Amino acid sequence: MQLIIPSVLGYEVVVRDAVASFAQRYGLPPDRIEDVKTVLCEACTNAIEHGNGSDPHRRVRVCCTVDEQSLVIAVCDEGELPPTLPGKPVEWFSMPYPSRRGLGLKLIVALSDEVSIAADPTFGTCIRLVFYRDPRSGIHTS
Amino acid sequence: MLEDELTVNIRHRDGVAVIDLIGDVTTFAEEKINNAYRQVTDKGARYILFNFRQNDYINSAGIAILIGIVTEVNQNGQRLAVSGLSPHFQKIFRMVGLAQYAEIYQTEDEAISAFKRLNTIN
Repeated sequence: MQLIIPSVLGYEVVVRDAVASFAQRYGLPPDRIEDVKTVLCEACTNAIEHGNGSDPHRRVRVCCTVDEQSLVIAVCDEGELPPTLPGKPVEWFSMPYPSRRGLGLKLIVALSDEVSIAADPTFGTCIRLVFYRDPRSGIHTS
Repeated sequence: MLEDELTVNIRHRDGVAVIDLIGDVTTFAEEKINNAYRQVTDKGARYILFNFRQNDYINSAGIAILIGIVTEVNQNGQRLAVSGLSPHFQKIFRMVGLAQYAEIYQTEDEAISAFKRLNTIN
């Protein structure tokens, strides 16, 4: 399934609802679907605001594929600057108060089973998000 | 255009300033949430409850707004609690460290009861 949206905040919710339906039919449990929804919204918001600079003429492409083991979602913008992912496990408590910096990327890394980023000067930046159908399947991919 | 605009409602119940947050808690909600917090603080609120309702969408920008508020709450010597969050968002609030500064309750009634006990002790 592929969805293409303009770089306008609010469209990430439309993508979220479509992908949640896709994930439900795929058989992900309800709590993992909630994780997918949060991660996807953060990835789309990053693509809209940071990747495409909120230029409504620039597009964000979301591509979902499944196999026996996992749901894979690619969120691609038309920008040139790939974000830097925090390490896993995410360090939340390095400051006296919870940090507001990089919160979206931290949520993406914390709630996904796998995350990777590919940047191409022609095709833009793509973040690839993987959610295992069975959480125990992670032992096969490390 | 596509956001479910946040509705903020302020009530007072048993000495607690209850701020109902109905709708999306995203970057568009910043002014409304901060204004509500300032309004109850200006009126001397010591106990504040953010009561979430029907919040299907709380993103990192919305969480950042709340982190800003817990910082002020601590500086102002107030107590903050949250209620009405779905299990998913309760998990997220704990994950990002908000639960260190704001007690999380399932319902408004539970939060009010806890504040009453605190008020008796203090």
